[in-house]
Amino acid sequence: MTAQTESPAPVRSLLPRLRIWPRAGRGNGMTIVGTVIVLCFAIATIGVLIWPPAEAYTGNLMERWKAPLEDGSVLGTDQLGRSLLWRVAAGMPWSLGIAFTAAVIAMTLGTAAGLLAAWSPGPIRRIVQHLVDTVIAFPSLVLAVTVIALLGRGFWPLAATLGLATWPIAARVVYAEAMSISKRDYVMAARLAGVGSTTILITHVLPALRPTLLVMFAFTFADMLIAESALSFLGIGVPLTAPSWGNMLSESREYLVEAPQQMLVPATAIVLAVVAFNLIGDGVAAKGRSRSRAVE
Amino acid sequence: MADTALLQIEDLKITFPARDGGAVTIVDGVSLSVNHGEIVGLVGESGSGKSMLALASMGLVPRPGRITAGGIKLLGEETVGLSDRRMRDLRGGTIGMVFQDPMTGLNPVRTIGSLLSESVRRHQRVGRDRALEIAEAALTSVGIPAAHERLSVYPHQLSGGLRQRAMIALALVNDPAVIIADEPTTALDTTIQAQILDLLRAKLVAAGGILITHDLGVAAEICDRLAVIYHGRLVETGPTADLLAAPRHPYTEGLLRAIPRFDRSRPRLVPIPGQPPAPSMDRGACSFRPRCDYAMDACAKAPALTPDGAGRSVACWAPIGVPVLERRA
Repeated sequence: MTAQTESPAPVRSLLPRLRIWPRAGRGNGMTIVGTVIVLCFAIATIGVLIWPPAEAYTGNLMERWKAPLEDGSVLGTDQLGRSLLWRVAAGMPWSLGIAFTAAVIAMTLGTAAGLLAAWSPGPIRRIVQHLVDTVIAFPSLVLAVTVIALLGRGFWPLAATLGLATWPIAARVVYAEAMSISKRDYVMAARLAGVGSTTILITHVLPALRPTLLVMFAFTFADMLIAESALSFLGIGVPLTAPSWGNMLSESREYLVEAPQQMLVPATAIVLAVVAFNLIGDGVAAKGRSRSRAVE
Repeated sequence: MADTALLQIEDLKITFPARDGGAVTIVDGVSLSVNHGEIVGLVGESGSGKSMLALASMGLVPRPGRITAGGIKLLGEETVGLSDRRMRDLRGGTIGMVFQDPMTGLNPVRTIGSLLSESVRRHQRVGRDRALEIAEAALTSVGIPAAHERLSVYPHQLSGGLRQRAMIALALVNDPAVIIADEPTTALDTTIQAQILDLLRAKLVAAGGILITHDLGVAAEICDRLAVIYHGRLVETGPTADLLAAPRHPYTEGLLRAIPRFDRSRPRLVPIPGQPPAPSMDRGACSFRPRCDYAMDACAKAPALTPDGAGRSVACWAPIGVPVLERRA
């Protein structure tokens, strides 16, 4: 309460102020490290999309299986003499892109279904819940094989499959959270003020869900990245020629002894990305816990 | 008189389905009217149905409960069975409600100004800026200093008393004709209670209102008329002063004897024996009979709320203080 001035101060924005640099507090270290790594990945991905590196696809057989830092290669070369650095970079739009798209699909569908279930009368709620149970019970590997068999390998079939197999988990979390929020007094107060249910959903329930959604997105992204790599490793993911991280791992299997760098480079990239997103998720969650303690 | 009532609840019955397939009646045949400039106090224990009555007046009986009989007229318009859309227009516009707990009733991630203007813009065709002006005026009218600056403040930045004032502003921002205040001072400390009660009296008198409370002291302070509710039924109604000076229903008398008084030397407080009845308890007999000092054979049948012709009503076979000749058999 610093309002001591006599003249009316201009009303500051009624929207929550965007805070670029977080305040000091629990979980910030993790969040910052994770965010920096993710930003590096994001910038690299965009760069690779704008300037596709030819080095990732053409190699010189005379220069195959170079160790990292040998003869001017940074991370070494694979069995066809292609630069592993450029291949891992060229794989970003595939691996990270698919994981991102799949996470967006899963979160969007899951949030919509969860809110629908929380906000609807009994029959619709039960239909959504049964749908969620059914999809979760369905083995996702079988689903993936079926979709790839029908649509062929590619970015979109894989992203859609992963998203469609994962949304029920998001739906369950959102449903439970939205149910608890909808019982809060301020939702009742909005109702007493005559605000319609849809408006309450958008202006009161959804903002309260924001931290949950953010945390869940980070973890879902990490899961999707692993799932993409696993499916590509099994050969039912992206096209076999695409340098996705899973494909690179799959290729490296035959040369594990001769050229371990061929496995280590994409594996490190996967681990780094997964750890980064988990750091963000954990950091935000820790922040949320410490804040809710402070409020109560 | 009855035609001019702002809010008229008639023979209202609210039931919830019970687990065994039957139904539990929470509010049973309550009639209550609020006239312009009048504050009616609704007094009762926890679980007596008083909050349910308030929610019903707002058209918000929680599922799976429903209104099975009777009606609620708001400015002459029947609201039971009204469409959702029309009811939302009335709610917050024509009838406003102040909530019990100011700590949880304001969304912590929304500014006071955005909460108030949301309600304003829901009910009045005004732009953003005008809505904020109305919101500011509402904050000023409930005695919040520096209202302009407070528009951009979040609920956690306000003290409990200021938050309750903000809640009252939220209920009043569209100048409702009827205001319902559900235990508005329960969550506040005593000095703040007095301030909020003064504010509420001023606001409720300007319109018409119901004050729901379990605190007879609070009710005595600001209400013109009192209605005592027990087990979902009104047991006694009348002008506040008369009712408190000479309670006629044994339950009202019991409530009064259980209040500490400083103006009289009474050796000890007398609690009402027993416990309030479960809502599912049978309603064939007088619900207060098991706890009543004056219970008699006639009480095996539930008495109706009977007016005495002088503005008071009581539901008792043998009202206290009424000459025996006037007592009903």
